[in-house]
Amino acid sequence: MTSAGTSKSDGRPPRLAERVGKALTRRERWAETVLGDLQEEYAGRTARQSRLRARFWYWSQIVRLALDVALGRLRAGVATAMSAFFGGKRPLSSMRSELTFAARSLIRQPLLSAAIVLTMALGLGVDAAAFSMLNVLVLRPFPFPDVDRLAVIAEQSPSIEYTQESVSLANFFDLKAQTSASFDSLTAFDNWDTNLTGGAQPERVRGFKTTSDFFTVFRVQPQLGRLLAARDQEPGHDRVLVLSDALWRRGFGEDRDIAGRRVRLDGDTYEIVGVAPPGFDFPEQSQVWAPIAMTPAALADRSAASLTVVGRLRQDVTRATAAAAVSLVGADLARAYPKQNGDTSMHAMSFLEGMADPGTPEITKMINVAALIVLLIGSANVANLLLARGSDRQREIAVRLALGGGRVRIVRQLLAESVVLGLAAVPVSLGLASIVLRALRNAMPAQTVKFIAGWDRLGVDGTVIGFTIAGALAAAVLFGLFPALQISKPAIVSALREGGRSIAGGRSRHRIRRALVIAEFALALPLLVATALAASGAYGVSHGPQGYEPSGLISLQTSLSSTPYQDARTRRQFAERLVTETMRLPGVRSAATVNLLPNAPGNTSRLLEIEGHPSDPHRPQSATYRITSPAYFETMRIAVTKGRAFSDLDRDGSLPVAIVSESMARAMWPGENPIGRRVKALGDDQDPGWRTVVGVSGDIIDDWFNRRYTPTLYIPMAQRPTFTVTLVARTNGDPAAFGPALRRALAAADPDQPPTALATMTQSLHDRTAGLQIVSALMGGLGCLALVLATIGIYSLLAYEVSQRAHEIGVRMALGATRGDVVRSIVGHALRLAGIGLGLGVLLALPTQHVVVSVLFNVVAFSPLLLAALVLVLGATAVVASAVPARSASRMSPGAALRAN
Amino acid sequence: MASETYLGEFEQLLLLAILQCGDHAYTVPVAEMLKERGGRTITRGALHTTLDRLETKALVRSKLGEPLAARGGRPRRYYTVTPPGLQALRAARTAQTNLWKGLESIVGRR
Repeated sequence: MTSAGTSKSDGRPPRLAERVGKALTRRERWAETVLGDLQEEYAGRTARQSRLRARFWYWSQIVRLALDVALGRLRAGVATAMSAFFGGKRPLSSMRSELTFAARSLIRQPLLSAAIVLTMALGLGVDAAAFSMLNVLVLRPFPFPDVDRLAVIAEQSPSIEYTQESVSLANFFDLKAQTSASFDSLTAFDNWDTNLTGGAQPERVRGFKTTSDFFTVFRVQPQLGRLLAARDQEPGHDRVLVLSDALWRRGFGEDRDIAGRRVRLDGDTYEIVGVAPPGFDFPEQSQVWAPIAMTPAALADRSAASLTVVGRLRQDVTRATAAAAVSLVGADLARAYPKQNGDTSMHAMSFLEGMADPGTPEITKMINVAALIVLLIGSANVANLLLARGSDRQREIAVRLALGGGRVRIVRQLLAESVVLGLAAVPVSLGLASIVLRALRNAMPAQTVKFIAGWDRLGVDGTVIGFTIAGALAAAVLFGLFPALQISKPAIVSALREGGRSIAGGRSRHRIRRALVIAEFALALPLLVATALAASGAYGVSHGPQGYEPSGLISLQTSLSSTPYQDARTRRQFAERLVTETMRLPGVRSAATVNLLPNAPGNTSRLLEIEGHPSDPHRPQSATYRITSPAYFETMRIAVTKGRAFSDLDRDGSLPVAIVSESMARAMWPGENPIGRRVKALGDDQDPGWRTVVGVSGDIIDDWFNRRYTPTLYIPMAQRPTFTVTLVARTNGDPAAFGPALRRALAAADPDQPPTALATMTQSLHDRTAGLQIVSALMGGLGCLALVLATIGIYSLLAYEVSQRAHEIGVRMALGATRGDVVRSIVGHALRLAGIGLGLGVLLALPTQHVVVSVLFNVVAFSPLLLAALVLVLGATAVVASAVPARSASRMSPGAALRAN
Repeated sequence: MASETYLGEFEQLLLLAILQCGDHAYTVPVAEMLKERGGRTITRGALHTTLDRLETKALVRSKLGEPLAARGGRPRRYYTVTPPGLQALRAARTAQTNLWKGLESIVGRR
């Protein structure tokens, strides 16, 4: 490995690298010395290490030298520019006096300054809030180190609905054994919500069962006791528990001697072994973690595929390499176990892709773009105000220019004023952002917030403050530079001659002001399109047709423990008792049970076999699977369009029957009558046989984001009793008032059975779609802000132009123009500006709407009518905004107008 | 003038490293000295720029050696610390010692 192969050209560095080095240092005085040093050290290295390594070293030195030189030049350049701009040796003190002077001159016009600061604060405030969302939800949603070195591994097949929860324990261990070259550590976990007793009070807690590597993968250290160890996975040793910091504080009074304490979970005794560090509550705000017991049965199971798998990549392994290794394992497993894995492939994806809420990045980006548009419109308004103010100061500036106050100095002074205005807006905007973000945190329902990593951390922090200050400075330059360059144009003679009344001298200034207003309208239109789409989407999901009638329904869910309810008969009897007890309550019109209601978190689906239709292994047929009591369709008001609903006669022992949704009928028996056909749900030990279709039901929206009008198979509860029982009741009057009564009915059916969820259907629909409602509210706020700012923009432009044109208007009226003529000319002017802006806006809105519709999960559709309506709204706004200036112009008396100025 | 020259911390370390290297004080051993005894890794650009600056302030002086084959025919540039440089170092040391006095109970000895 040493200098064996380097005999001849010893000491001569790579020629190309040397040439690059020479070119880089060409302008440095020390060029020769540094190249000499490099060659000398290179020669030393070739004697000690392989030539390849020495060459690599030389190249790396050249790269660092390049960075050094570039940085040095940049620094020198900035220093030169600063000293040129601030015209002195001490730029900082010069800047300070400049800013003080600017602040003084702004205080002299408090109203104008306040208007500018307020406009900027609105724009910057919404931007700060939007940036906080981007920063927390998209850029760093997970509070543990090196998230980019983590990967999520999932199986995919047509029958798997949630790919993140898709791996069986047996597959996991094969994967782990065969990818150890790619992953440092690999863990699998499964959710495990459980009833905890033995803490301060009994409560339902969110928990996860994990393999022992779980905390290793996330590089988490215990704050008390220990975390999970390999031995904890052995059957018999697996009743150990790690608490989250939050649960330890809330439920155990921060007991520092907690390790060794015993608690009961779902009736089993667990020993607490440790507490996770503060802030760690992955996944989904988990509060307890316990090991998965590696029983021989579990280890051999390849069909129960519900584990989420996360791995930490080895230091030198790229994600692509790991992904390739994972796919290979997937292919091997498919070949080795065709029955369970035949149609399944395995994929590795980035942690964020696998774990972050899927719609969040796009939505957050959309909100950021919208906020940026509001800031731009606000900046355009401010630029207009500054231009108007500049015209008033024209005489002052002309005199200063005439007296030899260089243009650079004047630009600098005007820019300093913008910077002061921008910075003054920062505290106000942060206050605003903080209010908005607090409202957002509170608006998200608790059961949804755990699925959006980072939501509970939304707020104004150092990063947001830094971003806002940078944004304020950028905006200050943006809205300040144009006016500053315009105003300081050396049109001295004409300005002095006009005595400050200036129309001619300001011709190009007028053009700029009009262009700014046009731009405001052009930007406002696409933003309003997005707003309208979000609003109509949010309204549609909560008030549009669902396929059932949500108002008047209340539901209560309970999970039967397996010990007393092992026997299917006892579960059937429980469900029937529950319905009977509920029907006894006064005010309940009908009641039924189902395994999962629409909008419930989670889903059950089954692969199907259709009699007479050989199944295609590449396109397996599956359907959402619902198990209901007879009155379900009546209670929910789901139409039964063909055949019959279930009845009390569909019992255990009678003919196994099913009802299919219209979409399923269309998919499985296109053009045929499905009544009398037979279907079989696969992979369900408790429901092995053929079922005869006796009815067809209307389609419903089971879940707005994943399952709209999806094929659904309904089974009578009496023929296949479930452990999860959701009672749903249709009531007279406000369903929310029936909560206590339903609890009593549950207690009457089984006093030991706690409810796991209790909500009206409208509430659960709202909770399920809360994210969309929040997005719609945010976009609505931004849209209104944009509309108001654009209105103010066109109003202030027109008001200013009218005041500047007073003389001209006076002349016209003296020459016989009527008031109507004056009003028409001003309103027409406004409409022309708005029209050009809206024309451009339409061009921007057309591509925008595609993006917005897809970002909003396609729950909305764009219509040209909507666009036309918004164009009209903005046009009308322009007319209204021009009304006041037009009126004041038409009321001028010609004499007074001519005497003006 | 020279007695009023204040040294930055890195400038001090660099001057000391040059003195430590004695007659052999060209950039390569100076950088090594800084790394070994001073615990500082410095980029080449920064080293040469700082040396340049010190020379402009007349705190160091440099002269070229003989052209060497090992350096591709380029000479080494040897540095010596000038009397004003020494004086600036002394001033820096005095200021430091004065400020350190009586702080052993807080900062500890060594």
